[in-house]
Amino acid sequence: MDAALSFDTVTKRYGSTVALDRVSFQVRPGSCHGLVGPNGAGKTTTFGLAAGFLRPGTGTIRVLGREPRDRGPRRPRLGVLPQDADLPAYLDVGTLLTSWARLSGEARPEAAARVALERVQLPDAWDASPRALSHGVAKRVALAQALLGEPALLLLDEPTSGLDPRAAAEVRSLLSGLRGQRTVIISSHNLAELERLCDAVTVLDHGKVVQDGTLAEVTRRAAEFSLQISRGDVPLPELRALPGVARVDLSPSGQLAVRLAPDAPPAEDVIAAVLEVLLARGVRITALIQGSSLEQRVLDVTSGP
Amino acid sequence: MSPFLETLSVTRTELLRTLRNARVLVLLLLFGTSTALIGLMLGLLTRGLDAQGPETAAAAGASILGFLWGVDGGAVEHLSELPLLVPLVFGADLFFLPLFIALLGYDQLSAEVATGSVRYLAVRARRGSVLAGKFLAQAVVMGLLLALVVAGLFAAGAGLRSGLEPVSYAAAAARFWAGGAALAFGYLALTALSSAMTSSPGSSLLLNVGALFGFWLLHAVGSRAALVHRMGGSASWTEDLRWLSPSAYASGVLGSTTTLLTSVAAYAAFGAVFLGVAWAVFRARDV
Repeated sequence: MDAALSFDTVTKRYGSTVALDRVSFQVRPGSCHGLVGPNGAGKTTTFGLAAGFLRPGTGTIRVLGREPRDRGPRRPRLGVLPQDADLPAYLDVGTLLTSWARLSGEARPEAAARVALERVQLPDAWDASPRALSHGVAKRVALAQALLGEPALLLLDEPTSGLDPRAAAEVRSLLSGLRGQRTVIISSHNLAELERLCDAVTVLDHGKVVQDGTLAEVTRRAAEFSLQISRGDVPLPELRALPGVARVDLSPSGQLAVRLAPDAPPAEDVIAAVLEVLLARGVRITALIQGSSLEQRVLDVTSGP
Repeated sequence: MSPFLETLSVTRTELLRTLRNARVLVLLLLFGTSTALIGLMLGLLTRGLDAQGPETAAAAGASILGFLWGVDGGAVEHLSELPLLVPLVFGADLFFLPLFIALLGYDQLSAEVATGSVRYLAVRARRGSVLAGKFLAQAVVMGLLLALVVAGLFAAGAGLRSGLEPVSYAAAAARFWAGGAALAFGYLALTALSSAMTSSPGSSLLLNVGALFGFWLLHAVGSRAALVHRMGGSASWTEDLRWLSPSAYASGVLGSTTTLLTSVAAYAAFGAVFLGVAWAVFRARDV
């Protein structure tokens, strides 16, 4: 199946600054894909290129099989939440959304605009002026416009930044509901949120892809796990001798880190074997973490701004 | 959606925005008020001339218009049918129109690029439709404003001189409107080009005013060389430079049928070139 979005050795420069350097990755149709990295990593540039706002220097980008700047009859059905784009002034929210719905090809633009506002829990914002909206409400209005036209691909740049916890949870719930129905690409610094929503992740750092794969691959869920030991003697030699175990380390704080061999049996089987040995020795275990957190992985593979 | 429907949709929204924009409303009001004030002053001054009969008024008018706007001799015939107030005030309006248009539309694209709001349009419409839609909205506003100004001027003129022939008087009003609209089209396109090339409203206005000054200078240098030549001096290639400036065709708007048609064609050509370049620039640029 063709990728919903593909970048093939894409480079983008702003003057002498290289924002993206031979970036290649693909997004599977119907998946939720996270785009992460420190500030200045190139996430917003990647979004701008995918949405057709920016022109790449070199390389090829395909969005739903089309060129991203194609706005012809067979243009890619895109919904975009741009980062830090003000809503246009002088018109009320309802008129703006209706106008955008019309351009998005909605047969009944006003009805579609009202539905979009309801989906972001803002039915009362119809007559509001964009200038009078708080940052969080404006963000949700911008999210509503991204949903117009039943887009097959949604590009959401920081969809929950600036939202209060309740609004952020509502947006997450909305995005969870879209899983499987359409492809969603999210850029966010909230890595715990991405871990909950996404199937796959691309990590950018200084304009380069430093990690790309499914969430399980990136967080190495199949390759390592750790146990928090509160009491008891850990039989390290016995654990190291278990099939599929490549390395076992016990930290002074009681964290037992187990790394699996490349040809190991499924991680669940190795975990069961390790637990069996520990419980038989009366070792008390308070937590099991499979893989690393996304946050830890991002910290491991990026060097910061 | 077809490019035509996209353009109409953008135009419709842009018209709504324009008519709710306080700056635009103040500018429109200012233009109308200043036209009325100039009309009032010139009406008082020319009342006496008009009272002396059409021939005297036309002769005086031709001298004044020839001095101020360089109106050709052929224009005197059709201008003699009008109260002197009408071409004088309309000529003054035409003089300020390019600057007024720059102030009206300098931020049509540049402000949206600066704030990022153009992205809401660029993701769902062709860049050409966005540009054309915004240009058309400005053109509609200018067309209506000119229609109001021309209607007001001709109505005031009718009050100053009796015995005007209604059909030819209305035809003259239509000529003035058409000429003014053609001039406005050319300068609106220049404003659209300035706005499409820049990423902030300030730089757009600066570029637009700079271009106006540049064109004025081109016209002035060419006209001076032509004058020197006419006075017996040597011919210079710089004479022809003036025809590269839209300013050179402004007086033709008030002129004879031939010069009016030349001016309309020139402004259409300038407008098409400016819009074509604006389209190419806006289509290629990052937003």
